[in-house]
Amino acid sequence: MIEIRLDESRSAFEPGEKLRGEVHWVAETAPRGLALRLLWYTEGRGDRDVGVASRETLPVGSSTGSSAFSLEAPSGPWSCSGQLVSIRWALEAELEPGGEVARLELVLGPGGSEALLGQGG
Amino acid sequence: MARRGWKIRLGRRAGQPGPEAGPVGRFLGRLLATAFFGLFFGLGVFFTWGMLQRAGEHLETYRWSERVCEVERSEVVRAGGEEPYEPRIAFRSIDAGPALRGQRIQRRDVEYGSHGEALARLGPYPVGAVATCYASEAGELVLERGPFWSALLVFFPLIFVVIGGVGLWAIWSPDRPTRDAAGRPRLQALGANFRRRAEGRVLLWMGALFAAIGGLTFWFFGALPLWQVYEARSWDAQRCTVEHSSVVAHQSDDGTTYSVDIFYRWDRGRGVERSSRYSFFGGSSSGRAAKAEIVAAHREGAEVACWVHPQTPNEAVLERELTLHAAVALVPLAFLVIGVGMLLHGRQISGRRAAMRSRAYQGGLPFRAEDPVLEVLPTFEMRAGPVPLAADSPRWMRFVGLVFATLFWNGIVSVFAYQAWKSWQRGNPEVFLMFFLVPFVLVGIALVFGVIHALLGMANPHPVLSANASTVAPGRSLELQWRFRGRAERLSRVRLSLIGREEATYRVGTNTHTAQETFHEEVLVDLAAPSCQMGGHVRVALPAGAMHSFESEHNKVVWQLDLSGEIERWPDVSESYPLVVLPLAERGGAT
Repeated sequence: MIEIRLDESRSAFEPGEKLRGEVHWVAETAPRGLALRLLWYTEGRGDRDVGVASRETLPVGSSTGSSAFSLEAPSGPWSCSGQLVSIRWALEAELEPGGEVARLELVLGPGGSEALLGQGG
Repeated sequence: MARRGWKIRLGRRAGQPGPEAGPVGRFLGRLLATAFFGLFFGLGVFFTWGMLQRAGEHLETYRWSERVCEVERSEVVRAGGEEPYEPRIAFRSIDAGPALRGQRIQRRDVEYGSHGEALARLGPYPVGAVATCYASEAGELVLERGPFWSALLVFFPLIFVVIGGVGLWAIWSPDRPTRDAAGRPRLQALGANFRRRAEGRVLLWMGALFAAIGGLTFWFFGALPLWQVYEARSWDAQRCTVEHSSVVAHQSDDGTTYSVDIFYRWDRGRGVERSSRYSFFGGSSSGRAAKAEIVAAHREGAEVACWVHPQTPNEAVLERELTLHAAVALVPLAFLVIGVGMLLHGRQISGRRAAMRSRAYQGGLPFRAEDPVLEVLPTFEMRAGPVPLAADSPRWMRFVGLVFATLFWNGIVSVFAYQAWKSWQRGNPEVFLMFFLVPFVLVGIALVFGVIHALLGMANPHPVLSANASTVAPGRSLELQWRFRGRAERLSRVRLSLIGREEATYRVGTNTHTAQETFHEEVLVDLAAPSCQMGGHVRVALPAGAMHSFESEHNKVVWQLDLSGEIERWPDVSESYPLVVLPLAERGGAT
């Protein structure tokens, strides 16, 4: 089991803001590594594109534990929703070995909100 | 170690929901993929084993004892086949050791396509020459040890083994569980295999490969023969006797090609010399008839004109002029030109992107130099003041593109149309071909009309659009100025609009489609004659909650200004000007 928790349970951020939180894991054996990635991806009609804004390897010592992180939200691309194209942000943690993945959806944009294509642009 | 999880998926796009192939479809897909990669693997293993054996035979000679030998026979024999010339040699040991005889230069001797090459192989070993030779314990005797580097050749088939092996492993390795212990769907990592955009590097590598292959091929098969043609103008005229003359067929996967094999001799008072060189442009090509004509003109026993190198008496040629065949040697030049073009374009793209990063960083924008947003913005410049906006595809470019497309399409169609017309002329019309060609000919005619339309459009008044800044941001505005160069009095109506559009590119089977959806359309100017002919200025404000420009591999958010002008009974003016909207929430690139 692996879980990402953000401080104050926030899920919306302004560009440049700090994302602070912890990753908790419970595994059968002590994992060798824990990769944390802040990434955007597209949804909609088009083939999926993915971009990784930052990646970190968090320290792990035992089969159960937690590790804190602090990342800076980049300037963009902003979260948006459209008819054909939507852009989403997420924090993704992956335990190694085993490849167990946890993902926490985020919104990145001015005022912590996403742009709606077709409603004001 | 965790598997970094790339898997050959059959019937759906990786990482995205979609219709999944059924069990039978998946099994058949796996079988097909297995056959494909199995062929790679099998052929790779076969050739690797063959090359290892060959390399082993060569390397074994390094354990053989050194002896001294004398050459007793050294001549080139015409044995037939695609590589008809075989260097024949015989030698014996003359030192104090056991008497041995040998007939091979190396353990694996080869045949040659030209007499000259075979002769050159025998060059160091004329009759009577004393040379070092190597003897095995079993009494095998050779003049040369095999090359050490032959062992390195094994890496080429090994590439096939690796490709085949990795493919087979990817097909048959057990799937990563799709559900966790509690039975919940298991997430697949999105960012595990992320690579930064190549930014023109692919073009640079491809261009370098094209240029290198094209350049080398042109050097050896174009430039060098051309130089020899030039040099041969001072060679001595001679009468040569044809000893053998035939057309040689070369079988390959791409079909059969042909070359001429004419073996001839001459004597300039210093002994008989022989050659098999017909012209300086070697190789083979399709079309047997032309080669048969050459062979007919050089029948066995015939005395023909030849040209002999004044200083190298065993070097001669039958055809020293530039023939049509020489033009084929210029084909690699096209590869060289394409490769250089790709290199320049790739360099331009990567340079433009690097300059954009640098400008954005130094120009006071709140982006880090490695900010991921710079990866997904169209290239832009940081300029203030009146900035001329560039149309996304200028009208001359559209015209040239259409001309090329028309020539290409109609060039191909005309070959078949000519066949159909000839069959009709012969009184035996190919009716099916004629009906089949109708839609293709109609497209060709439409393309011709397209070219005429674009040509007429070239004479239109030319719109000039400029702004007070090169970029804008949501909630900010731009001052635009527009006017027309040329005969603006022909315009009856002008419209200038701000357009926001989504673009999504997706695959269905093997086809790629792009869908577009306009999410913002705002008419900024809509004027009728005569005021539309004067030009003017207008302020355009981006909505505060607007999305910035975005450009990834398959998805785009595009902002642009569309300027159109109507002309009665004439092609209209229509240009689009891309607008870069930056992700700046508080400070803008424009006021």
